[in-house]
Amino acid sequence: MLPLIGLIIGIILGLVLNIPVPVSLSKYLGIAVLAALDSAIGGLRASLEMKFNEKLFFTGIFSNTLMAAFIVFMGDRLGIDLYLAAVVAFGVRLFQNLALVRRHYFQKRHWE
Amino acid sequence: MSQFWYFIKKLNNQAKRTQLAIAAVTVLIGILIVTQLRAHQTAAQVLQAATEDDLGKIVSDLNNEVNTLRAETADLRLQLFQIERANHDSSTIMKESSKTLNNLKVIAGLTKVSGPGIKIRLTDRNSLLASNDLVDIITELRGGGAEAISLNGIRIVARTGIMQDKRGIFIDQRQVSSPYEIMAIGSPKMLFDALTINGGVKDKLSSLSGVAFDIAEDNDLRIDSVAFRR
Repeated sequence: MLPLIGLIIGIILGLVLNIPVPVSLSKYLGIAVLAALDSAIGGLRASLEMKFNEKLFFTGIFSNTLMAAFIVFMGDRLGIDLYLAAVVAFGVRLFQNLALVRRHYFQKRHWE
Repeated sequence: MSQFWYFIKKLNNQAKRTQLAIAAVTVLIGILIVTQLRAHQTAAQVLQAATEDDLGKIVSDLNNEVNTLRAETADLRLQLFQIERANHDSSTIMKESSKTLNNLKVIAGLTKVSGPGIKIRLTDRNSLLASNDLVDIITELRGGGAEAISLNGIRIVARTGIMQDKRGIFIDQRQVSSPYEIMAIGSPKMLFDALTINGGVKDKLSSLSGVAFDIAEDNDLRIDSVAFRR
């Protein structure tokens, strides 16, 4: 419930703040969205597995985002669409985590 | 039993903390998503609304404009070049001709001349000097690069006549007599050297009895233009 409220608060904040972003940086922003989404779903899964650790969670967000940004930057410099690597990695993990979250959720319900 | 409650409590705490952490990240996601959508929208909004025909028209309009401006640029550049050349030409011609005119005026004695030069005071108590001696002095001064010369206030130019008869010496039909005051404008040093060279005109004239030859340098001499006879 709290994460959903957080999402709504975030959207409202974004609408209110109206942060101007140059078009050249929109690629980085997209990757940042993916990294954050991946971390959120991963955290959900960890919490369902009773393995959640805040330190791991937050360091994971930052390291993932920084690495993704670095990959995008390198791709731009080398003239390769290297950011696709980050997109694919995050995408795969996202679906995997989503599947696990689903499974754990139903198993938990089953135990009760 | 108490162990169970303790577990539940811990779980509850842990669950809340987890939820809070994930909520923080989802706030971030919300902000990022909205910002990203905004950035994309503003960039694409203008052109997205236009149909393909409109876009084609916009492109062709811009191309036309570019071509027109390019032609205009070339035109203006050519014009600028021509004006510059004409300006350069006329200004050089003007400069050159006014310089020449000035030189000619100085030579012809039509203008007042001022500047550094030398002043010669020549006294002749026994009336031994002849017109030739004056001509000698003037020739030496010209050889020394004098721009303008005057004798007792009479400007000496190319067509000035110096004559002598029984009554005395005449310059342009005006009688002159001792003391003669000759002014010459030019480099004072060169004029001085021209007159005082060994065996030169000063030596020759100074040897005559009753003749005194004084030369003084002056930084601001003024020589009037030729007086025309009416």
